[in-house]
Amino acid sequence: MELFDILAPSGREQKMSEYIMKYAESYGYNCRNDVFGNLICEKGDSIKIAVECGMDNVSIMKTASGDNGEIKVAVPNSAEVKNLIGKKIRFLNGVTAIIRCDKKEEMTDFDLVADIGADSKDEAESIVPTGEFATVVCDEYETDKYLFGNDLASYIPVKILLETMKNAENTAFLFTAQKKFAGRGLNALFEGYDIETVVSVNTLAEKNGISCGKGAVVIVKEKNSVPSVSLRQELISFADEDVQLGATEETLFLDMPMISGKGALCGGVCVAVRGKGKPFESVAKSDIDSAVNVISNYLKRGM
Amino acid sequence: MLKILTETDGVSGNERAIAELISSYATPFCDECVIDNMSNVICRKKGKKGDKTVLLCAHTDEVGFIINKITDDGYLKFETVGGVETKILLSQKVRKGDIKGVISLKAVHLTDKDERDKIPEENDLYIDIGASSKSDALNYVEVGDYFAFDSDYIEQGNMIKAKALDDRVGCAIMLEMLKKEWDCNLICAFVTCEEVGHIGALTALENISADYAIILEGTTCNDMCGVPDEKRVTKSGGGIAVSVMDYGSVANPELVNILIKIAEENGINWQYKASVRGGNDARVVSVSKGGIKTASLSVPCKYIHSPVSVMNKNDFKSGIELVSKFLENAEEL
Amino acid sequence: MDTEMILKKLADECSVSGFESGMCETVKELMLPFCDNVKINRFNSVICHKKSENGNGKKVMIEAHLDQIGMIVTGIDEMGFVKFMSVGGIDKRILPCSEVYILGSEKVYGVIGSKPPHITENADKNKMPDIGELLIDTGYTKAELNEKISVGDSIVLKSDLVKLAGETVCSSALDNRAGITAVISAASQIEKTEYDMYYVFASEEELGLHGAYPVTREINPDYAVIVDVTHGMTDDTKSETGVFRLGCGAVVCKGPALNPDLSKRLTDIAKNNGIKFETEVVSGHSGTNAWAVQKSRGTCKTALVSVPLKYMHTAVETADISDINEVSRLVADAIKEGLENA
Repeated sequence: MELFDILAPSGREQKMSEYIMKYAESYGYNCRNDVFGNLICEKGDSIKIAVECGMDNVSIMKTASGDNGEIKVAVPNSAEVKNLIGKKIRFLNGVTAIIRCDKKEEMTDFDLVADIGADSKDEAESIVPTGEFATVVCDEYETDKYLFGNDLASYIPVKILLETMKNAENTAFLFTAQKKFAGRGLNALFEGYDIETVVSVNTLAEKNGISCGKGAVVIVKEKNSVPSVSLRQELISFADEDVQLGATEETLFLDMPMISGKGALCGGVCVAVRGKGKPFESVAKSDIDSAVNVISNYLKRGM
Repeated sequence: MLKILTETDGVSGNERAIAELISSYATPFCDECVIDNMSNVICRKKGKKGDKTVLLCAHTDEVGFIINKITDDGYLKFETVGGVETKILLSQKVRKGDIKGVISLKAVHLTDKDERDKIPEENDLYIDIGASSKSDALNYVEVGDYFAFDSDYIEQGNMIKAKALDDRVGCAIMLEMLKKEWDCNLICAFVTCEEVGHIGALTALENISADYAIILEGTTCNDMCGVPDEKRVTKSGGGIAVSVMDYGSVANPELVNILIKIAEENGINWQYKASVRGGNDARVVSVSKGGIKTASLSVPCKYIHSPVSVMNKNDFKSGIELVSKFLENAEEL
Repeated sequence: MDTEMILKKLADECSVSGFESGMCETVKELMLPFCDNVKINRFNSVICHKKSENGNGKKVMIEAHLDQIGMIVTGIDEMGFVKFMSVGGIDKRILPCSEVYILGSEKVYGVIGSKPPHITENADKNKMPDIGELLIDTGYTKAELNEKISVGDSIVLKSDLVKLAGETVCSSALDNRAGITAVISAASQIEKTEYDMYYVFASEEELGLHGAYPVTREINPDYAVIVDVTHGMTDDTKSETGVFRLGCGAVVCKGPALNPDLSKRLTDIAKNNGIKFETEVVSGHSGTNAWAVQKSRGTCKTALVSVPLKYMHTAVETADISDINEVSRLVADAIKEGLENA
């Protein structure tokens, strides 16, 4: 699927933004980017609800070339470093690289090397200049019931929003830039965009009672917040199939819409991801449909 | 009755109030009811036939605290009386009569990670009664005073939560037995200081002879998911627990078999106490005067030795049934 | 208005962060006699408005956060034990052998159990258990519980208001019932004022000061006085700074994130009016709504006054009623005499 081929490292989401905008406009949405780079797609006059997700993936920046042609990179989010080992990444100029690391534990981005198939420093310099951004290559494939891919979790919320957009009316769809960067894009977005209610779409790991294939997950607690109880109850009751209820230690930034700008009520809908962070995460297709369903029903009947 | 028994305070060494309460309940039903120097309450009841004598024994004391120092700022340093884990003491309420106190350490915001993971030491802890200085505190307490957990009796579903279920539950069973008439002679010994070395029982036993003795106790129950069977000790709702052996004594096998047979014949729910850890007054009763045939029956209590011990009502009822049936048949054994 | 009475009324209600609606109603009822109108915003913050006498007064916000720490149900295991996660910074060391209420469709009582020493593995023996290892025992089976509670319900520590020696009181959630009481009491002392008064009780402070942001932006105050709690001195903090003996009065905070003129005005009023007070210093984030308010409205002059509280975030938080009274008197006098230096 085209979507999974797009590279959108945090801070360089243009290609993803363009792809979504083209798609949204074909469904009659008015689209624009704010100064920060967030994408706002609106349809209708009196919009009260927005559906939001992040459009970025991990950011990897080339910092230096090694003598043997391997290059060094920087990864701003230290939590993501160990998950990159062994993965295939691609720079925005098209160059592919493999990330390796000799250190077995407590590694930082200083310990990573990226192999681009060069054998000298000069060659490496000419292939990938310093400051160039890369992200993980998804290499998505599907089975009967599941989708597989590296860092698939970054794409799934976008896919959910794109599906939901097809039949929605009088709603805004917001695609956040730099969300993986401590949710910064969210802050910028809601400081500038006024809305009453937000449904934020994310993914969470398959654990603590949450399973793949058992339906969308409505969030009751995440690291930063307790999403609005009344909104949560509406999401659950308007759904026409079973949903799972999720309490997680992961950070989903559901507090950001409330503490930015004038403040918006925020609820969270997620799908479970198997092997989150590991090579080739997988997601149940039925969970994606379930999430689209839950959000669509809410849009028709909520608030 | 269990409510009043558990809500009355009687930390080991300070059992007078509970002794008087028990005596007031028991006296109308027995031939003789005596409170001795150690605050043991010994009740004797002649049987209709009176050839055999059964001794039932339960302890009246509970775990608690004794004040060993008052600081200049009016905080009370203490030692625990009986086996109380410091792990459970933070944020607990305690009392001495009407005087309330709390046990806590400084707020979590002022700690570092090591402090937060560490189990507190007894001598770091203190009781705060709200006094502003040592002289203010001396208006309310003095060194040597006893404090008990401040915990009320709550029933919900099949669950009863209270402090001191170990061993007011045993006392409650015995008070029920005193209400009826039996063929055999019955001695009910409500003894003190079990938690600190059985000294109450030792004193009481000086004047007691019996053919059979049953110790009635509350015992550990770790009936939770993830605990392997051999570590649960007893199951909540699994019935009255029959001990075979513990760190203090080996139960008399003849008596154990009789109890089990009676339970089976009468459809009384029972289980084995599946661990040998811990001990009770059987330790001293079984060796008294050349030996008394002794066994222990216990009601499973989760979170024992805490202010929130929990038991299943049905296990308590099974205990009452089994002891009753035993007493009915004791004369014929 | 009697401080103890207010505390008792507040103690009857539960308000875990995110679940404040019941407390909103209680506070609204208590505040109605002292203001012109009360509204509860979408985020469950309570906003009580009292118009100024002459109609063109500056806006003053007096704020105390409405919510308390607690827990949330995350699952029920096969044996009917309830799994949970914390909401706000609960001190995990206090949880073994504590009592709770689960607020489902019924209020269900429960006990957080503790594995006794003789079955704990040696490695765990010396460490306090993590929240993920703890379970709530209600005595009900899984089937019975499913009728009464569900995942996502809030859980509070059970702890009734108890009097200790002198004027000391103890219960869970004195953070921030002590602050709320001080504000309600202050409001009762203010009859007419030149200021456009907003008495605000913001939600979700314990989760990250959430309620304070939208409410500050909505009201746009010129001045804000936040009333919260600060750490009381205990036996094990005798030689530390930043802790205050119970009975020392109102604790006025100074620091870069607080307006120095307003802080000084408060301490001057306290001195002149014989109100007991102490000064606290915070070099950055005060951990209170004062930070959120100052951040959201740079033009608002913000101050922070606190009630000393021992054992914060446990079931036995302890405060002195006289300190609550000093705080309320200080706030009321400051409003009456004006927030600018003469």
